[in-house]
Amino acid sequence: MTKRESSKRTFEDLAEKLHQLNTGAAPDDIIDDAFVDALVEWLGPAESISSEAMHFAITQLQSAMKDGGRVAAIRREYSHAAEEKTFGQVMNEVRTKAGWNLATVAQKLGSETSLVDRLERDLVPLAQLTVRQWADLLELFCVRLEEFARFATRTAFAQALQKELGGAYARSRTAANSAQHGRELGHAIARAFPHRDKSANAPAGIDQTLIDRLGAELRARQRPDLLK
Amino acid sequence: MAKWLDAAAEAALVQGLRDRDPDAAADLVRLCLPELLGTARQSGLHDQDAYAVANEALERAVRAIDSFRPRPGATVRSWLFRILFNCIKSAARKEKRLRAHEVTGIEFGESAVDRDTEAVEGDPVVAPAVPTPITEEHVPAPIALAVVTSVLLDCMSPRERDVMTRQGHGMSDEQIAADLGIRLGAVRAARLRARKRAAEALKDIAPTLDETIQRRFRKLLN
Repeated sequence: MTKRESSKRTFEDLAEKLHQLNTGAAPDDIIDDAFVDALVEWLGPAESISSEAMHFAITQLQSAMKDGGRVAAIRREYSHAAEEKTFGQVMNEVRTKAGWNLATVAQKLGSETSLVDRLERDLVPLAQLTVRQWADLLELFCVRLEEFARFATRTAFAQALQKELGGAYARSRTAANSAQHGRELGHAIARAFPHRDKSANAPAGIDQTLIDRLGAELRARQRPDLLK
Repeated sequence: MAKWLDAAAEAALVQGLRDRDPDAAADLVRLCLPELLGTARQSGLHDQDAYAVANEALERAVRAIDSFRPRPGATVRSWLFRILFNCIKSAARKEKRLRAHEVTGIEFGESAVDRDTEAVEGDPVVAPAVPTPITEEHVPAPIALAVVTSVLLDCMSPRERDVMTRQGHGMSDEQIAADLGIRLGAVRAARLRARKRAAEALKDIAPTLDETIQRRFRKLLN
């Protein structure tokens, strides 16, 4: 094969793979060393990067590496203590032990401080965050998918409890302990603890679709360690 | 083509990253950032977004380094590129209407604005002033376009390339002539020659191209 033919062949392979990527093929199935070599060759020499930009990227990566190690150590150390916790409580525990404030976490997640605050207080409904936002949280706080399912179930339960009991408690504070308020509180408790009340529906767990999609997102992010 | 590390050096790099060695992180950035940044730029992201995406890919790689398992034909480099393509897709999802831009700025296709009133009929024309939005599904399309553009530029002489890249950046014939220190007629002649060469090269590779890419170069193919 002549050099020209070989070059044409490489180009055809690259064009075919780019077409596949463009039509939705997973990068994992397409991108290998040959693809990268061809792409880099066709795109030409890499542009030079200023020393400031290079220095900033190095510092940022070293800082991310240090944070990742610290969070993983905290999670390992306190994993036994997280058994009965909600996702927000785990977030709060890791954040305070890592010495981060709310703004630091918000910056790492690319979100707002108020969202982080509400997440820590379990005020954000699970369905309100996108799969990608949950994946960011799992990566940042080194939470495995199986742990997330447990924490999220507790979070959902805590939110249901807040919703059911919060209103009744607020109303009961505005007046004397009337029979009406007592009944309201009783009904709220019955709704909040349906497993104690056989007539009620089973407690709602978290949506399995969320877990499945989160698993797919973590796989796409090359994080099989968080799938265990 | 940039040379990648041999197997032993790559294994040492991976081990360094797993041991959270700051020097290994610095080596990874120095080795990979230029290529990652170049590819992110070609995907239609602005300079700042491309820089952020390339850094995000490196951070994700460091976080996931314990999961990296080398396999034949897949080094850390290609693993990083897989992460990069996923990051680019995420960035495109976040910014629904990213402005597409081509590195060379050259477009030979339709819908372009003929800003030079003296332009010869049928000449290649510069990219439209209004940027084309790209969607998540079309993330690699600008990369494919950049690859094809590089093929077409490769077949031109240095003078023709100089003229075409300047035209792609929106310079008028007079400005190009002044910039290159040549006559106006030479600019137009170079452009005509470039178009002929590009058309020949394009016919050669056209069957392998995606339809959307073919449409962009329709004038040259006809």
